[in-house]
Amino acid sequence: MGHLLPAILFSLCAAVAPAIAATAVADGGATPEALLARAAAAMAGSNWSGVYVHTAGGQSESFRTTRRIDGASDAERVEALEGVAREIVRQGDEVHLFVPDRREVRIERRLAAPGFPLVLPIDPAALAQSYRVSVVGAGRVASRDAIILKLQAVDALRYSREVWLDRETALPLKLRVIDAAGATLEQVAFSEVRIGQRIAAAQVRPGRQAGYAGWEVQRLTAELPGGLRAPDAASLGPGFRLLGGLARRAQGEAPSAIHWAFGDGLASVSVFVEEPTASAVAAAPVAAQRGALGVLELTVGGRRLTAVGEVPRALLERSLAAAGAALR
Amino acid sequence: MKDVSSLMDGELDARKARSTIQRVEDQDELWDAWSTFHVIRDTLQGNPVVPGRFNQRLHERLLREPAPPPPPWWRRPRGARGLRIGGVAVVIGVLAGLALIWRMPPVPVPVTALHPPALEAGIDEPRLAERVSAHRPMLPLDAAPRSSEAVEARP
Repeated sequence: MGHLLPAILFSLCAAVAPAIAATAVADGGATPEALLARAAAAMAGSNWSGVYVHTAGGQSESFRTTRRIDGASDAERVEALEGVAREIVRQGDEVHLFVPDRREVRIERRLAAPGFPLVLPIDPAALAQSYRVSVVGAGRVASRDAIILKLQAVDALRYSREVWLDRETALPLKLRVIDAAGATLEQVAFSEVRIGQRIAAAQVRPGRQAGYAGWEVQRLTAELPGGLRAPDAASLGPGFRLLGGLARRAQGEAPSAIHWAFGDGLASVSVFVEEPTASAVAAAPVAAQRGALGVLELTVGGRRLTAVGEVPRALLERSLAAAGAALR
Repeated sequence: MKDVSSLMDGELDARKARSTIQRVEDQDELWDAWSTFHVIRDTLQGNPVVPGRFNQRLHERLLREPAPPPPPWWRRPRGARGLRIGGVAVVIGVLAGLALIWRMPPVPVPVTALHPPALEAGIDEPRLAERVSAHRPMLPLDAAPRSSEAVEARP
């Protein structure tokens, strides 16, 4: 998993290329697939810095993001500009979350969602099964001209998306997640951005000037224990694949939950399967929703199963069922 | 496995559904998947969940019994009656349902349409927020994850 994202983005470029000739030409000669391939290449190989606004469930939050590619090194830093000064630094697939109000550094491996706001295709084969891609217009984001791509979901197991690609570099500048009725569930958009400039290594290091002496360091994820049966991703629906699995620790000892991640090339869903406990009694399922992000949790056989993802409820249910079936 | 979930969602045509039911009866793994899907769906629907031991006995009984040959379509029992009897009748009930749509094109039934809403909670509820944070680590939430898992884990 060390450099998974660049690898899959590279494979996206390779796999999408043959489809270019077969698709109607749009936007001055670029097909939708060619635009996606350019976007993938821009995501994989560009430096940038900027501020983006994330809107979901009636709430908006601003974040500053900085991305630095230097040879094989891929680093990213995201700072919350409102509320508690949380900060996230990613090096490859390892994510460090700095929580100043608790003087904690939490370290875990990134598994499900790629860096934000660039939640874009990571698996072209699955994507072709799951979405119809078309150019639907032009727009402007953060003072930059953009081409608008629509990724129309082919079924009710995922949401559609619109993405604004920078006309010059093809870097995604804005993303809208849309439900079946056409309503916007969630949106991310740069309010300012610089693309392709030189980024110093110091800009993607944690920024606390007073240092981190006395902070508690927690490493939350570990490799999967042997002998586990992975859930069958095909039972989720067309195009879904198992992205990977991790063990999440508890009490500093044995893992307490297994984290499985599934994706269709665009949307992703995580399922957490906890170890059975005597205190886990059967109760009504619990659901939560903010924007496109849904959570569904239930208890079966003394285990808590939790599904989390930017997907409709139907897919959360299927994810729980797949994870549950793998326990038998 | 995919066919089993599709069968439950009414997404298979009649021929595919029959072959899937046969395979569920024949293969332990698919039977387990079938049972698990039912347990999870019953839990989601708030229905009483059949205990595992009963499931196991039913399974063993099914293994002993020859699979019932599908009756002529005009004599197939209705699904509701079959469901009262148990697992064997569930299979027959599904066949009855198939008889009703024998000549009709398959119509996918959204899973959500079958389920009443679960208890709604806030996504900032600490326990859920921790899972959300694990799913989307690059998107910090204001709600701090505050579980024992986060607090007590050590490198």
